[in-house]
Amino acid sequence: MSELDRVIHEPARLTIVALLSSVKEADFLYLLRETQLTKGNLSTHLVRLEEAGYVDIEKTFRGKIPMTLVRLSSEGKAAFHDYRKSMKDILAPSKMRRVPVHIPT
Amino acid sequence: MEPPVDIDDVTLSAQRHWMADGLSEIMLGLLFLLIGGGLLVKLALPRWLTLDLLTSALTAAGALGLSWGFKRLKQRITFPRSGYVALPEPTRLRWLSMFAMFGVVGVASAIGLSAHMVVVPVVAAVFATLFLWGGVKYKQTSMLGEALLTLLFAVVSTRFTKLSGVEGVLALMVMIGTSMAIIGAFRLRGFLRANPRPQEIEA
Repeated sequence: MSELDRVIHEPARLTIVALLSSVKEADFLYLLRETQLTKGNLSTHLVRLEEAGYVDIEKTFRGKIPMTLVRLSSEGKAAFHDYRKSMKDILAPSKMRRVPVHIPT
Repeated sequence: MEPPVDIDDVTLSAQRHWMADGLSEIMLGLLFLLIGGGLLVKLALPRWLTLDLLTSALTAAGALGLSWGFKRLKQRITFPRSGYVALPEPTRLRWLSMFAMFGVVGVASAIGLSAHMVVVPVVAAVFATLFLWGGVKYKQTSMLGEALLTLLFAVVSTRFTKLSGVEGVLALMVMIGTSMAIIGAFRLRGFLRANPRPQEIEA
């Protein structure tokens, strides 16, 4: 069985990484609304992903309003790609088991 | 064992978020109106080089203005309310496939028009298919409505007006553009009601 990346496999972090995989960059508010997490929870998960080197976080300003930009790093993209591949590998045998077997009488 | 979240659905949410405010529909509708209307006006005017150049320049300036306005409105309306997201630049393959698709549609339309074939229903079918595909893929009910409206406009245009050929296609573009802009405006109103601008907290 393929080894799953535990950092990504956690549902909230998987949602964050999947969201970031389809965009160039996104801000904290977008991730907050899409993940439905609390601010504290989202921050914690982002820090965990940043520590793993999967996301780059940039603190900037939009006018006078502070803005936190998040983007998936190249390591994060590779890790997400590997995770999806591992998941497919794991799911493939279980799909094969569902195929009805003809037993000759 | 199943993935803890539906990854395929989550990866499409950025595109859904991009379309949720109705601004894309308004802008695309206005672009259709501009191009279709501009070319209809051009056909109606006498064929003078100065007029030709003027209408072309106005259409191009209008398209550039729409693109600029779209970015400004996104920054002022959408990003403060529902968050900022930047979609990735289209890949070279995507650009090539887009050009190829427009090329095929353009060449097919030109051949059909020169052979005096009935092109309005064909063009309407192409637009309706694109709307249908977008509506199903990105779960956008408004796009399904636009697909139906496009077919309705094609029926109205071919059965109840004398417009055919190039004029027919341009009139269809004007009708589609108008309906998209109106639907987009309703969606924008709904978006503004559902997402009030967050109050700035004074320190």
